[in-house]
Amino acid sequence: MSDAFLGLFGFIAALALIALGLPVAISMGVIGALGYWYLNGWMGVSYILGSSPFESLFPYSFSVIPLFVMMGVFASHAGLSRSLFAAINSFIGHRRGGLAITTVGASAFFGAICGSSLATVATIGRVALPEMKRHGYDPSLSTATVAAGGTLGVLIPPSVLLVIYGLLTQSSIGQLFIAALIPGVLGALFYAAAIMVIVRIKPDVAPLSERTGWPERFKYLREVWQVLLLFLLVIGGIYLGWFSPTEAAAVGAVGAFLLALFSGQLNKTTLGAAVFETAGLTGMIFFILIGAALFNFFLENTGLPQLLIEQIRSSGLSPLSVMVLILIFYIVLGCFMDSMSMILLTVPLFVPLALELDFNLIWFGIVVVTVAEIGLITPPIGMNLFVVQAAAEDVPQSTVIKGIFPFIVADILRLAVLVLFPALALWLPAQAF
Amino acid sequence: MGQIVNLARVLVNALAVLGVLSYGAAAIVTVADVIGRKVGFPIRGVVDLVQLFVVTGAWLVIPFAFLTAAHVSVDFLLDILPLPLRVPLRIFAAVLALGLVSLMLWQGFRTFETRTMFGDKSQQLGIPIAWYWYPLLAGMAASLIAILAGLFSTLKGELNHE
Repeated sequence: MSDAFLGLFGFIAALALIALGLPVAISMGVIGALGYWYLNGWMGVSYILGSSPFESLFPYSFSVIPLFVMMGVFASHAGLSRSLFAAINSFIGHRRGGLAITTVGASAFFGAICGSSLATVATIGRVALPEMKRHGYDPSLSTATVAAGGTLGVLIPPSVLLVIYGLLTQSSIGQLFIAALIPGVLGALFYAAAIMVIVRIKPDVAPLSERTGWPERFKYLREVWQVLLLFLLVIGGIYLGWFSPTEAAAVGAVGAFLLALFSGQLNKTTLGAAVFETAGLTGMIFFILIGAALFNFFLENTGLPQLLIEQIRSSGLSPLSVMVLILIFYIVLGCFMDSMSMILLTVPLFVPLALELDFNLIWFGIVVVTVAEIGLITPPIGMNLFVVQAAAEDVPQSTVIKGIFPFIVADILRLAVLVLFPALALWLPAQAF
Repeated sequence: MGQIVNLARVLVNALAVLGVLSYGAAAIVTVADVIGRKVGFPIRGVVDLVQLFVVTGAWLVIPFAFLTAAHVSVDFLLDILPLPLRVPLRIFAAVLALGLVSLMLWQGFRTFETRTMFGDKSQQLGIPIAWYWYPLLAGMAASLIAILAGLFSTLKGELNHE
């Protein structure tokens, strides 16, 4: 068996173990270690088993991960979602589909300080779903909007997925964050457009709501200034060169903790929940990084990425066609895998190819994270679909899935725009750095 | 057996709390340095300190992720499988996890011995490099306990559910 074929076999074996329900980190780690053992003997594998766990977490740049996770967790416990929803709703809630568009807007803002898709769905869902139900919104529109809105947090900085992509490819995390701003806003606009099309075709799914007066609008705005301040401080600080991403993450974590503290939401129960949520999330992320490191040692040794490059080169396919094939692969894989595992498993395979085809790695990262976030709402394993269903127990899964398709179409259109116009991702970093 | 599992839970939860406190220390030191730089009093060796706090935090929370099955997995196939197949798969996953973490701990300890033999220290503050390894070894050992405790709870849950 050639080494490259062994690499392909290992890739499929890892996918098979994952499909059998084994934790992704263990699947990647076990296959990586076994494959490396086969290629380099016991001495080789004992070296990487002894050093990888240390080397995988030791670099200073990895500090950014737990700090951004802490920021997101404390932000989601600070009770900011209700104020955000009320503030946006006071401006556009009275229009047809306005509550759904408000949900998208609140998800985008909340995602900006939270960075976790699942937390955004759970938190915004708690506020938005009862409100939309009260106003007679069709459950398929309301639940699908919450599920789709949650994906915005994956791309809108600070994003843990972008951090991981940046660490894997040694790309600038600051540049990735800035590059994600326009595509993230574009995502919110495309979702809003999808809602407007839905309510134009079927006005019954979103009855009109009452208009809010200006005094109330100002009152709501005063309640959300801290959210805007925290976001501006973190992302503006990186953009203006005040902080490195790690420093911005630390400022964000301390800021979110203080917001939670002063909002009066932080008591013994919520503090405990936040601490254990941070522990679970970061423990999962760090161990998956170790598993991915073992798997990548193996993959690099097999020469599979080089074989892929040679195959693509000899096929005569244009870079655009290759990109489309990669995206189709990601969309299919995203139906069955979570976004982080997908990125850790595939980026080491595709990045050498992207470099060979002269793709800008910042742009490639934005496209990959965008397509990975689509996986969060594609059935049957769209995690957001499960989370929103847990928040709306009276709505069957089939209703959520029925409503999600217009949002998937919006995502695919956005992806096409990002692929055809890389400047949408690259213009802003070029101004900042 | 139940009492041992409860003890394991207490230990792993306590480590998780310490781990998150360690992250908190990293955040506070970093913010203090950012502010300190503005007023001309930067914190000396901030990179060494943040690395130490984050590495410590990371290894102390990893057992918690094993205990609570927080590790990402794709369960849709597992959920539709009958119990006689589901239970062996859970045990298989735990055995693989145990095997991998045990090997990491064993080889990690050997690497730790080699790297600390000459008394290496961090660049800025001269913190002994062994300090960065202790949480790793403790975290790996606690992860083994957490995997077993997690398996016990999962199997108990599966069988009770049935």
